[in-house]
Amino acid sequence: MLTIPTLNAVPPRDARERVVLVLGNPNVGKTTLINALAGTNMTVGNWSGVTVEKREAKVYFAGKAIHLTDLPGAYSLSPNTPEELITRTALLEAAPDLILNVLDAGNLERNLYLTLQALEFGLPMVIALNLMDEAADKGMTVNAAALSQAIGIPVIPMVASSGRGVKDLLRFMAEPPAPTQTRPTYPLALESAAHQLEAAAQAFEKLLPHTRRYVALNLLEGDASLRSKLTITGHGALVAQSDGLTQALASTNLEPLLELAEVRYSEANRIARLAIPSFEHRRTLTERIDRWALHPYLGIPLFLLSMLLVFRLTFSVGAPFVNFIGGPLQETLSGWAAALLQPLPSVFGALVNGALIPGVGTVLAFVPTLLILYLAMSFLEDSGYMARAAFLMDRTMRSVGLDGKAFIPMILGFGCNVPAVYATRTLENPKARLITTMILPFMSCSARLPVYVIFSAALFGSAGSTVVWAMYVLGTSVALLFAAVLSTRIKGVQDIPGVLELPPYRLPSASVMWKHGVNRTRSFVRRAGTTIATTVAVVWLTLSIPVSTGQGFATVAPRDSLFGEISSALAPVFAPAGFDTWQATGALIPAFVAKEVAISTLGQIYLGEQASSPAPLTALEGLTRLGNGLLEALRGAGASLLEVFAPPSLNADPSSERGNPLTAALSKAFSPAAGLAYLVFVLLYTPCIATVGAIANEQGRRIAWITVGYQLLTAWLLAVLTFQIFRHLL
Amino acid sequence: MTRIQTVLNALSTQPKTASELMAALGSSEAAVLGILETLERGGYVQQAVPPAAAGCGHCNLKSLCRVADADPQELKLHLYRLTTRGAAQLLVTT
Repeated sequence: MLTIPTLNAVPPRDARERVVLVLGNPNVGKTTLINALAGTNMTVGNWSGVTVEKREAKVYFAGKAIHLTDLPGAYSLSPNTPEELITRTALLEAAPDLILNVLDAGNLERNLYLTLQALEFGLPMVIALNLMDEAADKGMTVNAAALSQAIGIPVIPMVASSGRGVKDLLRFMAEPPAPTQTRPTYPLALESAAHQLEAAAQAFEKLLPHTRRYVALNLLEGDASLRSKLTITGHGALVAQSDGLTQALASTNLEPLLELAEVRYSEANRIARLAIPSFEHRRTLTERIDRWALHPYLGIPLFLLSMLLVFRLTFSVGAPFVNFIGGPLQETLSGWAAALLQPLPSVFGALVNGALIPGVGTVLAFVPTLLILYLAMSFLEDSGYMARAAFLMDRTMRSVGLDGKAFIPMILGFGCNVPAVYATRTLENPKARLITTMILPFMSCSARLPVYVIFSAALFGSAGSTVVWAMYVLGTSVALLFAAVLSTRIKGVQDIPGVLELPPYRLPSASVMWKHGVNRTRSFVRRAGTTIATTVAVVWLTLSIPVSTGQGFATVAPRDSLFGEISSALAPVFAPAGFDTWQATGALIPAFVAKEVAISTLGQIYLGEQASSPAPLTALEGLTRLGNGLLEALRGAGASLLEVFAPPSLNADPSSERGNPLTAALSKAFSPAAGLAYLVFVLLYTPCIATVGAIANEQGRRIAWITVGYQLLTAWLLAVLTFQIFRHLL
Repeated sequence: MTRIQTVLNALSTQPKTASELMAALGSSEAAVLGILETLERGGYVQQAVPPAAAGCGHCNLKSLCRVADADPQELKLHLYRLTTRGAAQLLVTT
């Protein structure tokens, strides 16, 4: 096994042995190359004290034993990462017969920076110009001879994976070329300082001669890790001298780091242009997909279709789990709680079984639905498709006085309106910022989804996912309509068209998608445990306080409670919209705190009464019920997968979805037209207090209040319109 | 104007990504990223990690967002902005 010697203790080498250091950027195929060179002779060795594995192999060729050391991938020899540090240390402490620099032919300019740094060592060097096939696929014709002439060292064009070029390379390894004299030329003052340091380095015997120029240049560059290494190993005087020289250069406005980088990057660019004189651009996968995804006529319909698929997936696959959590799970928990709380005063049973389990539980029932939605949205976002949606909307956005960049906060609003409001800071134009902030609350955030799902399941059956999708389309359309109106009313300068970045498509990593999905769902669960639980407790309290005398606390009928009285007083306002019951109106009031509270309140009202005195369950009875419920949910979810791709149905068929007690209660309490109007109202009225606070933060309280006002008015008007139209159709 | 000056100058107006700087330099995106990393090491530019108040959390679209409160490891577009040192250097060289 080869050991890398430290300092200048380079042992005398057998004339039949060759030591080769394999150097290159990450992912250029170094390991593949070593496998191709060494075949089955390869051994892997771990060096103690490092976290990165270095590999070495021995290969025999032309009577020579060639020791290959595969150094960790490095972009530069001015270390920025632990891998680069290991690579640099190996070059400083070894005296190889050859540096084998592996380059990615399709990424020449970036790779050449390391090559130019490696040239400073003045050691024999050969370039393995790997991945020639991939470069050709990109439309690049790389001229290896021109590259060799420009750098002054041999260049072997290769495809390591297929073994192309391997033999030519082995010949150079067995008989390395003479050291090259080609090096980048730096400004005179810098060269002079480097020469002084090189001369001073001669006094330090521990520094290998071939490392002096590199050490001098990196000290001038301010390489912190090299400075500490030299200081520790007794080269403090050299470091001090470099400090003096750097200060002298700085006094003439010469920054060594920038000067060195400038020369190397310019040289890398020049050499790359010589090696690749022409570049016939081939269509990438991203360009091929974008031909359809960004099509001027098909782009937006395809986007709408993809969103419909997302909602169908969310609705169809999530519904059986909603029914399971809202049905068997809640019933079991209520039964267990009843058994546990039997010895305590009845008010505890009323709070747990009449408020917390139906209230918080109803909201938590949507965890699987939201997880599926977040995973699907993560897929669209991470794959790069959502950026295309913003691009597609550019023309539409311009027609309403904004540009495509304003659509990005709007897409963010699908998740949560609060960060979306803050994201309007991305818009440079104050007028665009104001308008976008004011229309954002119309974007349907994920807190509204549970309301759509439960009502759709209760009233629209197999057409439910289409209704959910329609809510998102309606929210976006109303937002755009308001933008058009506001842009004519609000004075300000015309926006300068912005540049929208379109990242290349990529297949999102499953683990990253899962992480994003779980993190977003976790924040929903956290809200259920804090904001929603608190609101549920307050609603329960107001539902327990009797208004008229003669009835006791927590025994009062909900209609006669404080909550019921207030809701009843407001209910007539919604008579033209078809949902003028005190229950429907009452659920909208606490939903100002958070939209999903509407569902928890409906759960408390409709289920609380029947759940407040559930039959106690034993552990076994509960577990059996849970097991059966879960199996049914899994079977239902599996069967629902096929429904995602079935032709959309517009028939409201509520009879098919009755697995959840709340959906059953809602289907009796609302007609389809009234339910639809209710969803429209939930979609369009003030999203939550946090969003109002965010708007007040960004645009001031006056704008926040104006937004609340016109949202309430718009929500009421459109809810009335919806009911009046659909009462005769549904 | 040198390549480094071109980059510093382009970043002086607003944060930009490597691909936005490609055209100005006539280089590949990877090569521009290399220049940006060198400048970052010298303290002339920094990755644009904006105010925590943006509250974007784990939102994936923060890669499109110039105020995103992002984990630099997850930033897919790697926006760079000028530091005070970078701005001073630009003044000296222009």
